Formats: sequence, structure tokens, C-alpha cells
Amino acid sequence: MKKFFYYFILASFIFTANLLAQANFPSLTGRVVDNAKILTTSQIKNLTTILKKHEEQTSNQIVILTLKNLDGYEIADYGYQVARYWELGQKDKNNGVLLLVSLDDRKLRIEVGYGLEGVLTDKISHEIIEYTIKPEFKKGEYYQGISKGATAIIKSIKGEYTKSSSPQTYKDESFISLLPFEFLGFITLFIFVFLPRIIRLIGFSLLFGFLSGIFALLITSSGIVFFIVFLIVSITLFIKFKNASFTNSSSYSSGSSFSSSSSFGSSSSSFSGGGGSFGGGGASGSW
Amino acid sequence: MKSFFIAIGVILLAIFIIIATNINNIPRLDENVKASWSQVQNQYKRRADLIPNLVSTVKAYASHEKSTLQEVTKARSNVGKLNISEDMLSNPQLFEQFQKAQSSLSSALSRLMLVVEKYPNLKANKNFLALQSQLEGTENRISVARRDYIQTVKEYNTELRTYPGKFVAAILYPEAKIKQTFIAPPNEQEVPKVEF
Repeated sequence: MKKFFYYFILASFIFTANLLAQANFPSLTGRVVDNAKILTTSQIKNLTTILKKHEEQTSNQIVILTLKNLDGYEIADYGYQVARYWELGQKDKNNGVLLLVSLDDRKLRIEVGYGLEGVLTDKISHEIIEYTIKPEFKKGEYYQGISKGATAIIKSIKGEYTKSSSPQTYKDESFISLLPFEFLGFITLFIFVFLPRIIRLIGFSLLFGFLSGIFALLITSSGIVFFIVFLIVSITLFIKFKNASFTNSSSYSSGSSFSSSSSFGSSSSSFSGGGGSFGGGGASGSW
Repeated sequence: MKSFFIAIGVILLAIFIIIATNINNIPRLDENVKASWSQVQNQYKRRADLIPNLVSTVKAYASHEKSTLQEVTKARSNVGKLNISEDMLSNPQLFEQFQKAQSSLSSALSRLMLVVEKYPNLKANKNFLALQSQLEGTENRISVARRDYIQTVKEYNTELRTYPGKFVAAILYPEAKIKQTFIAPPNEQEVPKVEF
């Protein structure tokens, strides 16, 4: 019986331990992520200022990403996945836009969040690409193309949303709120901040499993009970957390809840997505 | 003896905890599947809505491509006739029917877009270019919606077929069934031929 029980635990652990595969997307270092190195520092600064000002007025998040190549992805595939991964746009408005340029394939794409598909339609995105950006790119004027394109995007989405007066707070409905922070503040924070997600999940589970085990040990004063309770609680918590992070995985992985709480003294220049989602709207082109 | 009872108690407790922590998984995942399915339907509908406009624009320039145009119109009306309901998701025949109708519309459309290459006037028409970009965007949205649907169904089916979900389902949700998902039929995997 006991043997069966151990096998059962082992099996359920293996079932749940297959890690969440995630493609290797670039990290969101700012509003302009120039991985293809086609812009100068001052150009990046200019663009960032424009985009930042726009977000302050309207809460729309526009990000520009340039890449050397797409790792074999279709640009449309890559675009929506990276935009979802970064969670551009506010959570309740889904008002993010990604301008993606892949240098070696000579392809570009405007990826539009759900909330802006009505104003920045496929047709308008297509026209911005065809008639505004492409002519500049053909001449090799990448900065001109990107900057004009960004201006055209801003122009088309300007009227859609206004910044709400109350500051945006993102309540994480996932398990973070279930944890008694004051109880284990430091350790939880430590695990939370510094480790990758799966390790954090395991860390949490083991920690709480251990505590429950200690509790059981105090009641029954039996080492076996401690061990069993420890295992069961750890595994069930792990399963539970993993499921919770499935639906909310994105808010967890990008750490947006953290930078928005700003208790970690992040400077004002730091930037993160607000939780918006994408469904493949927008247009692609090549030059 | 005492430790034996403790062990039994702990096992019962474990079963209870497993059920308690997983009790909401199946309904939650089921809702996810439904939501992503509505998105798939939504995008397919959007494509169907684009077609009359597209057909009439092409007709104005390429009136003797009648058979291709008719094919598109027919495939569209077949799609419109489909009776879509939620229990279709766990019914392989109905689901396959739906998929077949949509993929025949897809291939009719892609043939139309190939035919169009022969008409430079049409290709220079701004209205047509806009429609083309909309169609492209819609196809792209369809593929995103389909992929999301596949993902949610995968999660749902995995929950139903693995422990502890299987165990919970057997006790609490005996009516829950494995759901159908998209597979690419052989004719969709062929690359359309371009003839010069």
C-alpha cells in the first residue's frame, strides 16, 4: 500500500513537472528594442520620448522591435507571440502596438492589440507599411521609416483611449494574493524576485509543504507523518500553483506586477507591459 | 497499529486535498475552451463577411474567371449553412464537417488570389489591395485563434486524461468529454501550385 502511494506521488510529480516550453524571445528593455543595431543612441532616445509621451496621454503602449532575423519564424507568428509575451497595452484595454522589423529577411510587421483593431485596422496598418515605411526602408533610411511609421501609428490611434485619472493598479488574482506575505515576507520575496518561474513554483511548494509538515509533526510527533504531509502538501501546492500560473502565466513571467509596485526602487526609465493581449491583428510587408 | 491508522488518515486527507485543490480545474478549462472556440468562430465569420465584397470587386475586373468566383461563393454558402453548436466540440463527425467546409473555403480563396495575379489592373486597384490586406489579416487571425483553441483544448484534454484530473472528473464531472481539435487535412498541407 505504502509502495503504491509513493509511486502515485512520484507519477503525479512527473506528470506535472514537464516544464512550460517558451521560445526564446528578447527581453523588453525599453520602448525601443534595437537588437538589429540599426539605430543610434540618440535616435532611440528620440523615439522613446515620442512613444512615452503618447503613453502618458493615452495609455496606449507602442513598442518598436528590430531583429537581425526571426529564427525561422513567420513574421506574423513571431509578432503576436512576442507581443503577447511582453503583454503590451493595458490589461483592460489591450491597447498595445508592436512595430517589428526583421533586417535580414527584409520584413516588417505592425502587430495590433485587440483593443486597437478597430482604429488601426489591417487596412490602415497595411497602408502605413506600404506608403509610409517601405519607401524609406528601400532607401536604407531605417530611422526615418520607423519614426514616420510610429508617427502614423500614433496619429491613427490617438483618439481611441484616454488615460484614466486613477493610477492603474494590477491586482494579481493568482496565488500571490493567497500567500501570507507578512508571514514569510523576506523569503517569499527572495524566491519571487530572483528565480525563474518553475523554480519559484517548486520553491514555494516545498516551503509551504515543509511548514505544514512541521505543523503536523508538532501535533502527531511522528516523523513519517511529517514526511508524508510534506510531500503531499508540496505536490498539491505545486500542481495548484502551476495551474494558477497557466492562466495568468504571462503576468507572472514578465514581472509586470513587480515593476508597477515600484517598491524595488526601479528608476522611472524602466518599462514593462501592462497586461494587454493580441490576436493577430495588423499587417505585414517586406521591402 | 497506531501509525497504520495515521497513515490511512493521511492518505484520506491526501485524496481530499487533491480533490479540493482540483475541483475547479475542469469547469475552468472548459470555459477557456468555449471562449477560444467563440474566437475561432468569430474570425471565420469575419472572413465570410469579407467575401461578398471581395467577389464583387474581382468580378468587375476579371469577369471571365467565373468558375473560380462561383467556387468561392458556393464554399461560402456551405460554410453559412453549417449548424454550429457547442456539443459539436465533442462530436468528431460534426467537427470534421465544420473543418472541411472551412478548409474548402480556404482553398477556394487561395485559388482566387492566384487567379488574380493575371490582372494587373485589379492588382493596382486600391480597393482590392485593401480587401486583400483585410483578408490576409483575417487569415492570420484565424490561425492565431485556431492555435489558441488547440492550446486550450490540449489543456482541457490533458486534465481529463491524466491524474489527478481524471480521478476528479470521474467523481464529479462524469459528463465531461474529450474535445475535438484541429488537424491539418492532407490537402491543406499541399503547397498551391503556381503555373506560369
